[in-house]
Amino acid sequence: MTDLPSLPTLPVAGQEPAGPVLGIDLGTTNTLVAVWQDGAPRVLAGADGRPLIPSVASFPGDGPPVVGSLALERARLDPARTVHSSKRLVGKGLADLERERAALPYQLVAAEDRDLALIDLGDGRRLSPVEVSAQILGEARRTAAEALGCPIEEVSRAVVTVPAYFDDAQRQATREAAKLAGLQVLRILNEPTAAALAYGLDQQQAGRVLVYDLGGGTFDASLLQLDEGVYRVLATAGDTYLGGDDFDRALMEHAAALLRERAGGDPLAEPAARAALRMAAERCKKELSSAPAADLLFHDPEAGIALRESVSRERFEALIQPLVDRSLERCEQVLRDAGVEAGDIDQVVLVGGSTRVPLVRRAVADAFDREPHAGLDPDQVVALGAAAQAGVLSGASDGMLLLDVTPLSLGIETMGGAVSKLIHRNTPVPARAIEGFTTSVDGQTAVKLHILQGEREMAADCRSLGEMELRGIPPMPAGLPKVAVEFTIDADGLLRVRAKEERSGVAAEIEIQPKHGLTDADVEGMLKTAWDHAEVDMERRRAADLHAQLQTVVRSVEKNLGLAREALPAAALERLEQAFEDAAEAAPEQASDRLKGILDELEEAAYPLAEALMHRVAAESIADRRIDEVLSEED
Amino acid sequence: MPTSDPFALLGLPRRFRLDPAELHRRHLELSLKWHPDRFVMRPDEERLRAEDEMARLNEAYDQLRDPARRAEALMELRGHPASEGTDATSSPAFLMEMMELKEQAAEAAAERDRARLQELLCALNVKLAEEVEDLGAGIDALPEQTEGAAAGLAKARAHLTEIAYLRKTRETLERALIPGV
Repeated sequence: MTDLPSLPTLPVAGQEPAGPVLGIDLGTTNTLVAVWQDGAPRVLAGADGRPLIPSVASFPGDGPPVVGSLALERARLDPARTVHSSKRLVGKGLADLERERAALPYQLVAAEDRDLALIDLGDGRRLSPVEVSAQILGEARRTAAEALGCPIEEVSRAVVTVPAYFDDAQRQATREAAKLAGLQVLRILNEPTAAALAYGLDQQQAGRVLVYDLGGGTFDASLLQLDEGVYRVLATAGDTYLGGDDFDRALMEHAAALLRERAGGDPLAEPAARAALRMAAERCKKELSSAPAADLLFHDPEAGIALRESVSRERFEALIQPLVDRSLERCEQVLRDAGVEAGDIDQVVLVGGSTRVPLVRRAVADAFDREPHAGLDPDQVVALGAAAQAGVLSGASDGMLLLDVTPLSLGIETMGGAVSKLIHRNTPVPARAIEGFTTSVDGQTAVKLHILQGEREMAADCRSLGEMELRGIPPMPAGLPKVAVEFTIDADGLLRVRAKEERSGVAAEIEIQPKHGLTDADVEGMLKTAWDHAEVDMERRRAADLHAQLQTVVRSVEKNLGLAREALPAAALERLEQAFEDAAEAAPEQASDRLKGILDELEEAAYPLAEALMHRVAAESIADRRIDEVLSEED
Repeated sequence: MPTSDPFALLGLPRRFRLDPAELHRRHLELSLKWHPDRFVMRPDEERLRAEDEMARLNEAYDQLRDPARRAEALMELRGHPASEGTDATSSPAFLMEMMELKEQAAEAAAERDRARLQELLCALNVKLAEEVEDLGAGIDALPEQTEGAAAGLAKARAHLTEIAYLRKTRETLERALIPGV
């Protein structure tokens, strides 16, 4: 991507930019951007009037990346190059993602030189998840610039939220993504803390608030003490592998099992089938939030697989119950860490789209014996809180202060593979700790410091953040050197490690080489080759995509119309034939809105056809065979 | 390894028994002054200073709100660091009690008996609170002079060892309550 225009430069220290400070909720599924305006936070909407930017970026071979709802449209068309859920991938090695891989429509590979997962687009290009997140943040930045009516260069600063339970590597990766998108991060803010801030602004009540934040990919629980504008986090816990995606996956696995039972083989072998089934599962899940039963409707004409299965809410709840239980166990841990009983909580606030699932609401209400607060839109509350914090940092609103904690313990490996913890979880940040260590071998002139994050006793069970070495210690008998190791965590939750041998004065302040992240050189390189597609004709890309999508549907209708023609009512047939004709005549040069209209009409008109085909398959009780086979028998 | 006097940093009297509300209030007052959020738009120099000050305040706050660490800080300030001196040995009765508790915990964990684990955790917390109470009474009663303090210090060290042991056991219990960690 070297032929693309470069991004505007970051602001130089000392020259304070005048533009707004954005509050960005960079979510697994959706991203929102908000600002502090006239004494209150406000969520900004895109050109389509919707505030949610789908956290999806697509990377076509012949043009600039496509982000947001346009990228979502490309998921079926170009699954291998359309990346969703990048938030679950940032700051992770390939080994961490074994479970994720099977359900992803795109390919993950390991970076050659370190333990970092990359996305292989299948056309020779490889991207880091950070670059994908950068695209999404870039879209949020453009959305804000347009909504605020200011030049994009002026929109250069942001508060970006992350799950409280994000580790150091994931926080670093988020910062890098923002930098790539041309945004200076004034603060990395924990999502549940942001939510509490929005809640506090809304309610103006003192007390203890438990934030239950179940998003697309992650779960956080935080307990806060609210007191006249001061928000003190007492304890936090979470799970970076628990969210609405997992609800979808439970349904996907349910559907895949049914398909395997009926058709054999691996129904999810094809990326397109995985993408389609994932969407079907998500749709079904959403419907189940308001209906007692919903269809898991999946029809992939290309692969010749069809499934229509009614899923009751009870069935769905049984599938996700273990996941919900896991979230409640984390809440218990938070209460234990804070030394607080469930009865001492004044309010429970639900955050994240996944808290719309009735079982989640019910389980939380039962666990804390109170109805959760429902006054704020669970999709928007984090972005609103981020904007409030942006207001505080830019000096636009004072009288508020957030006192946050570090969610995970930090330490170093000692002889024998044990972990010596320097900073314990739930320590207020910024934090600092110094601890003394010594050598184990006579004449040892260098020590290795292996930095770890996590609660377990043994290094092998904790997350490795990186290694550093302190060299040049004068030879001394074992046990004599005094190595002081200092950990500091800044207000963003990011770690810095310093080491000094006190007898000789040999010191080292070493940047941890991120084990799962990008080096500064990587980021520099990406910035040099970064793109800014604001000037590129998005309309052309969109029209081309829609046209390609149209062709796919046209082929499918063409293939199947001959078979089920008789089964269609006359009116439906007439409508379909008209739509088919319009679609066949459509050209990629036409306006995208017009193409979208034609596509929508064709898809809707073709629905009775798909239904007829499926009924036929079922009626002939040969549902266990591919539609293709049924078709060939007809010939 | 405290590098300064956490009591002085937070403007509190140097003794074990302190009012948690007062500690909380002092920390808050100083946070309002030094929190880095208030310095985001300031020059680098001031910003770094604030990060540093706030980290020290948090370190002191963390030290003082934890009774064991508070005791250690007091002992160090009086020139008797808890890490020095003879190794404090616990009473056989205490060790027996702990062994029994560990066995029961292992059993409950194997049977995934959450209710029983909770029960044991509760009992352990009561024991821990008693230890802290004894430790505090002992520390505040320590004579100023080194000569008369030996017995009291040995006792304090024994309490600290027992508290550390109880906490380790509590961690094990808590982990058994969280699957997947």
